[in-house]
Amino acid sequence: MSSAEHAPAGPDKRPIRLFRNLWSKIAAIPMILVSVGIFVGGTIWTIVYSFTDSGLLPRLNWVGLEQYERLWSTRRWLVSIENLAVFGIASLILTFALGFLLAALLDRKIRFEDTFRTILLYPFALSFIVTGLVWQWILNPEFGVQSIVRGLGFESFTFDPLYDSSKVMIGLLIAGLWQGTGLIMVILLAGLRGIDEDIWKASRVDGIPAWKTYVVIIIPMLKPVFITALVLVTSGIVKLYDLVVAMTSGGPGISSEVPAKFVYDTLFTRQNLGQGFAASTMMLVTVAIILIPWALLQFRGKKND
Amino acid sequence: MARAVTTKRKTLTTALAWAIGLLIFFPILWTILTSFKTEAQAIANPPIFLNFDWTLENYAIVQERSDYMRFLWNSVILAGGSTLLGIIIAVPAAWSMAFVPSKRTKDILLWMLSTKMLPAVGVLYPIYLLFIELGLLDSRAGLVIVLMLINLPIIVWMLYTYFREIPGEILEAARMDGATLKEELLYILTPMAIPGIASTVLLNFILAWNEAFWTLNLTAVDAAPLTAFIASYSSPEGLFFAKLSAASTMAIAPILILGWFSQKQLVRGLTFGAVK
Amino acid sequence: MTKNSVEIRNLDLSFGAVKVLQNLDLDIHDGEFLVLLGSSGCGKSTLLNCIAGLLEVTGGQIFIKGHNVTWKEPNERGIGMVFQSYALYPQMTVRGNLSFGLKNARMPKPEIEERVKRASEILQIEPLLDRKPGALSGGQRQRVAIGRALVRDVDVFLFDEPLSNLDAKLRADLRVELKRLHEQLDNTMIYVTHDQVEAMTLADRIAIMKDGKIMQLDSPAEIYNRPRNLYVAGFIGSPAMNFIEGNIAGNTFTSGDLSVPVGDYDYMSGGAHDGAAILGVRPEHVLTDDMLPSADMTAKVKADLVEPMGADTLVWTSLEGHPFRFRMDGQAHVKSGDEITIGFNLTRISLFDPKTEDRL
Repeated sequence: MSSAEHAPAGPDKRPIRLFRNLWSKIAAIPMILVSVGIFVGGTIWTIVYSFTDSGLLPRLNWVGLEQYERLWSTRRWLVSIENLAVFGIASLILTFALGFLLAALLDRKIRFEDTFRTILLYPFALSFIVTGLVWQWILNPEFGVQSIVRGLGFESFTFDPLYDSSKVMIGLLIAGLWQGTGLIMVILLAGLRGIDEDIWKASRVDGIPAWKTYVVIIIPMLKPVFITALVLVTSGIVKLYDLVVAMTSGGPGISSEVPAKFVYDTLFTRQNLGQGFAASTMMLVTVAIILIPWALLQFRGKKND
Repeated sequence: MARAVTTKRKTLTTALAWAIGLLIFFPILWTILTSFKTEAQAIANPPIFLNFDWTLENYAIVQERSDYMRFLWNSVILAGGSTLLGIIIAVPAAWSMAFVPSKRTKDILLWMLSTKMLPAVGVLYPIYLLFIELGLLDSRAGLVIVLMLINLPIIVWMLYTYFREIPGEILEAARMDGATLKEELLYILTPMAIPGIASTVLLNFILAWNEAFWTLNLTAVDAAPLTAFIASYSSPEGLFFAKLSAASTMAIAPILILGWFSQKQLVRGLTFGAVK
Repeated sequence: MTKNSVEIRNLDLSFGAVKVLQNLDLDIHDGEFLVLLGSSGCGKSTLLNCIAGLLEVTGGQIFIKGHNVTWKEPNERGIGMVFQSYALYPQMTVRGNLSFGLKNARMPKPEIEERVKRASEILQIEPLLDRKPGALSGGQRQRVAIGRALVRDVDVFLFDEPLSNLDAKLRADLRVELKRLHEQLDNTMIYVTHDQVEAMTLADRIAIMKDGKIMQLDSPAEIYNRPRNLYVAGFIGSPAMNFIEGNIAGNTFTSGDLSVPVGDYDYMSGGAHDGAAILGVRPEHVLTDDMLPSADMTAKVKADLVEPMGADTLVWTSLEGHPFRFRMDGQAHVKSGDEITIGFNLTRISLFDPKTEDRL
């Protein structure tokens, strides 16, 4: 781009170009050092210490995989993993389904679309803590949804997921969906808008019904957009913490525990560092499992360019 | 248009879409409304919608009890400071990546973005220790640094995508006109980059403002921002929904207002540049 | 049975308050190649989309092969369509693209294969059947797009500026192929373009459109030789026709010093006309040098600008204050400032009424 081979007017012009390359390389270094260094460094530190028997304070006493063995026999951890899996899969499917439906709906051009998009994104712009609190309240049996519906005459309507250990994840799911769907919708809508309008015309002339056009033609065309959205959603799911803390504190009991909260509690409240490190390393492994295929896709894709 | 639609269908779709919009906005609306109710009316069963006695007492109590202004000020400093610091570091880096790209540029960017995917809990403890050692716990400076660190990948990424849109030919034209490096930077590039930088600043401000994990764990009293303020109201002791609503409204008001006046930037930012 | 493939009656199309097409009538004969020609915004694509059923009309009727299809879906109208951007389904192979619509209509497999085979033979795309659109060149993609319409086994083909996305050479090649295709298939083809050359070479008849109305519907020759109004006269021909304002009185057209006898001019309405008029003559019909003796009248002009173009030389001058261009042989030695005698024949001129802009 800018490093074109214009013949410099005189020797004093050339050093500037060279100097500029050097300067920009220097500029990039602090940024790289800082973000990658600290995070990678910190993560490695954690992984290393997960193989120790640190209790209240970190100490380098190797115990091999003992922490991991204990971890995987802790009921609380298992519950948290299970919860995350359930939440994750349901969240993924529903966010995409709803997001796509909304995007397809909006694609037909409605009025004041910009305002609409902003409103849908507001939930995402709010911190999880606020979301958690607000929804905790909406789902409150005494003056939330349940009481409204009961007030309308459905006396036996019960909807208090936050107090029911088998249904609490549903409450979290609703709040999570509220927050995340808008984002996915906006991204998918942008993707839909990028589709050549003539494709729609061609499929109409061919007599293909709308739903089929979406499924067989449009969605495959949106693959890159879907992938971006997918990465965003999954990374959000794995890190689930604030919402749980705000809505249920892991309760009732431990029925809405999630790994991130487990790690935090183990580290600070229960002061069992080794276990905490082991748990967070496990989380890291999960993220890696998701990220590595994506990264490969990106890198391999680039090499083909 | 994507497909030819009849006007009737369009009106129907618009109505449907707006119903959904209202549904989504409803929790926020409800919170705001409740903040103006008395505690008794807030938990009325069945819930009252609009005709209640509007009062400002909740706001007064909240401010009095927990000094809203202090938390607000901390939030502003943390969000603003980390954003400023981030921009200072990120602009030169994004600049060089956008205008003098090397083979490794895309790799570096992806690498950085992936650190954002890392679960924060993984590095929580080491950083906590570091903070204790450096005496940064519960200090605004410390939090500013941390917030800057976690958002840096996004800042760089967004600036990069914005800078890439600036046509390089302008630089060449300027060079042909004899502009020096400094002149190029100041008079040509900067004005074109301002919108992009502004969007990124806005986005980062919002992200830092909302950041709960780090702000809750690394602050106590001095540096606690609004997220801590809210969290304090969620403890069992404070189950007073009217006050809770007032506190929440006070916490999210800045974002709602900022976001409204910068819709396009908000969309672009929150979707990480995927949507323009 | 009607001899018309497509009939359009009183067609109206409005987008909100904007009237794009107004009270349009058009008959398209069976097996005809009809071109809708005009500049951007004239309504030609809109008209095509109405015929296709992709746009809902505000008023009027459309008949295809005698059936009233005004409210029918595109796939029920017996049409096939080819788009400017080809609009091939990117994830499917060529074979998939060709057969998708047929499969959707639950056609039996052997018949689908038969049709795909026939279409790909005609268009010479057999070796490409298993490739995806991304691996095809522009010309190949366009052929596949045509193939997709071909397999539908319909009577009417609609083309929406199909060659606009191709480079000049490819455009010329495909133009010829389209003409051959039409001769081979003998289907009705309705073709939208803004390119005069495509229109003149491909069409049996051309409908020149402006602001949602048809300015003239005629064969290319008629449109060229006897344009019905100023707009058509100025649209066709490159460089455009020269116009000179003047007056007709006593069988003579005068403009300043220029005097042209128009007694033998073939008036549209039969009778002669007196009063203000505009004389039009095409640059290529202006006679110079050794052709002059056959001219009905002559005049002297001074060359302002000379553009040697190889085969011709284009000379820019002015005649009675009006800009005037004419062609000379490529070998002519003319330079700026030369005085040249020009002339033209009555049979080659057009006279127009300045107020109505219609041909006299």
